[in-house]
Amino acid sequence: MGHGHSSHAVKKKELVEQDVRERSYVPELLKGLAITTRHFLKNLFVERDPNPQVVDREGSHVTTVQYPEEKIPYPPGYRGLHRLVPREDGQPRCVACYMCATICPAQCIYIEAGEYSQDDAAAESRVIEKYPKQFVIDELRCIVCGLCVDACPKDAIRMDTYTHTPSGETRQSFVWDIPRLLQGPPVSHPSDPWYKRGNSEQPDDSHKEAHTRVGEGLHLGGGNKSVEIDTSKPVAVTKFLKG
Amino acid sequence: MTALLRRVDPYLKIEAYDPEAELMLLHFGPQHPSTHGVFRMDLYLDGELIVKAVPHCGYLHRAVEKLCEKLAYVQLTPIVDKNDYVAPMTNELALVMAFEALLKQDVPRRARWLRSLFAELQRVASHLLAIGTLAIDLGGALGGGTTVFMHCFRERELILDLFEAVTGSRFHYNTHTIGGNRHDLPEGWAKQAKDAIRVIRERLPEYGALTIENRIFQQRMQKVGVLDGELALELGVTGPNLRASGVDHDLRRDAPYAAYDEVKVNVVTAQTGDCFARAIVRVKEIEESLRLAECFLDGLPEGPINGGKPTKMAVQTKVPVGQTYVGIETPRGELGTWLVADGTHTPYRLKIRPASLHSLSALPYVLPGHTVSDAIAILGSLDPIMGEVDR
Repeated sequence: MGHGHSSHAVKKKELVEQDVRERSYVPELLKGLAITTRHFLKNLFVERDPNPQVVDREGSHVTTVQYPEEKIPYPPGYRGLHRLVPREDGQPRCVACYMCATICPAQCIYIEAGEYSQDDAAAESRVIEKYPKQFVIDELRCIVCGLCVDACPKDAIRMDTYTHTPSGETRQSFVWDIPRLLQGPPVSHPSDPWYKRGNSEQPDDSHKEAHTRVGEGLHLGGGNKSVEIDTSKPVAVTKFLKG
Repeated sequence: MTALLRRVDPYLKIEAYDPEAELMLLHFGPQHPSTHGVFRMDLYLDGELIVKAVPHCGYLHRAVEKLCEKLAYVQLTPIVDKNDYVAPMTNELALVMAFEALLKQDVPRRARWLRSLFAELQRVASHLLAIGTLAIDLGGALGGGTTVFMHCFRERELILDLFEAVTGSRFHYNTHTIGGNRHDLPEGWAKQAKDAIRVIRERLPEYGALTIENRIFQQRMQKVGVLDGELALELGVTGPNLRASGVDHDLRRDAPYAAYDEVKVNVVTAQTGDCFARAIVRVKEIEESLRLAECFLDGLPEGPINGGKPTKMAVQTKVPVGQTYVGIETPRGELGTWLVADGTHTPYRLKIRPASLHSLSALPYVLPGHTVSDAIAILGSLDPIMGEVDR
């Protein structure tokens, strides 16, 4: 030990002398076990209240919610899976303005814009110039922040499906394009340009701002509906392929 | 500083393998269930006694500060949520307060009270997790520690449900913006919050009986890991760790922000500075935060929740040239944001001063002289969160 380790002079903290009875800590064990046994017996013999609102349960204090038979309903405004909102003619309301793609902190939205020709047959298409040829969200990269919903000026993307991203087996299956994202009943606002407005006194942006929190047209608060995933067709995505 | 170094020298050179020294090098972590994240400590052991401890962090480094230089101000809130992932409300608050300081943006009164209310509820949730993980570290997964852990998480769920009702997400809320908050309280939230506070208050004595008043817990934690108040101040330790060492310092009272200047904050301190003091300070702070949360809930004023003007291109919010530092009291200590803005829509430099990093820097001074089992108790009582330490 001739290396001059002065650190060996570190003092061990002094140990309290205890006899066998004190060292076996029996009273403390019994006190702790009394608390847990009390809970155990109460939960064993008192009927479990299956109220999904755990705070309001009476009787035993079992807080387990037996999923999937019992589900806790999501509160309104829950930030869940994205969806694209359709118009009356079945096309998404999106006009490919790239606001959501720009503001996404994870850069998980990929859009390719296409232009309607001037003499298109549909009434909506004559009034709007652009539509998304591709609208792809990589759900695995999404951080579920909700900034895309706040940024969209056309109420075209919402997060009100009241479900979360379903599991998948490959990374490619998490890349969602328009057919998978387009869900829900069609939505129209009075400020939409394809409504021929009677007079110009109608305000421009009179639709409710509440679309960012509460879903219009979808079943509120606990749809928990499963989203159909069609993994049979290949997804034509140019950005996320890794070769 | 030399007086402290005479006691123990953390920079003492010890050969890694020295047969004559009979010291064993033990890597504590990074894969370890009790290190509160990925964290490594090199412990030089003489038998079971720690002679020297060298902490190594950086295993969870995600280059958040570099990412902040690339993203716009509006996009930064969900990114800093992930620093101290146990208390995201206070992370976001430190960030947006720095932006508002440079933008000279006024925050309406209701938004300030909402921010304080959320911060206090977040403090309760975070301290519950700290006590729970401390108990499970001491007792182990199969021992008695799991009970306290599960009970603490059961109470924490009540608070997370409250936050889910407001913001839409149980974690990583993204609810603070420049100029106020993004989400307002829905109908019936006040009653739900009062119920949750009442339930937590009823169950708090049960944790006391299982931990604080338990002689096993006391003997493992008393006189273990004594952190001197002077040393703590020199190292920059803040929060409950500092207050347990006898220093009466709380940013909520001494440098009030948000709505803390309108309520009375009772600061909990302890004198001994050992692990037990840190644990009991956290338990008492839960009680105090419950009282403060009720205060904020009762006195919540009406009004708008956002004072900024709505912009079409929120991503182009430009902050004028300048520098600022804003520090707030998180459950771990003082979390600070140092912002250097250069007039564009992204920060030039955003540095986050984590509270847990300074708590961990006390380890080389505190650990020598203790055994390995004490090391776990000390680390648990300091309550570090590696996401914040490494960013």
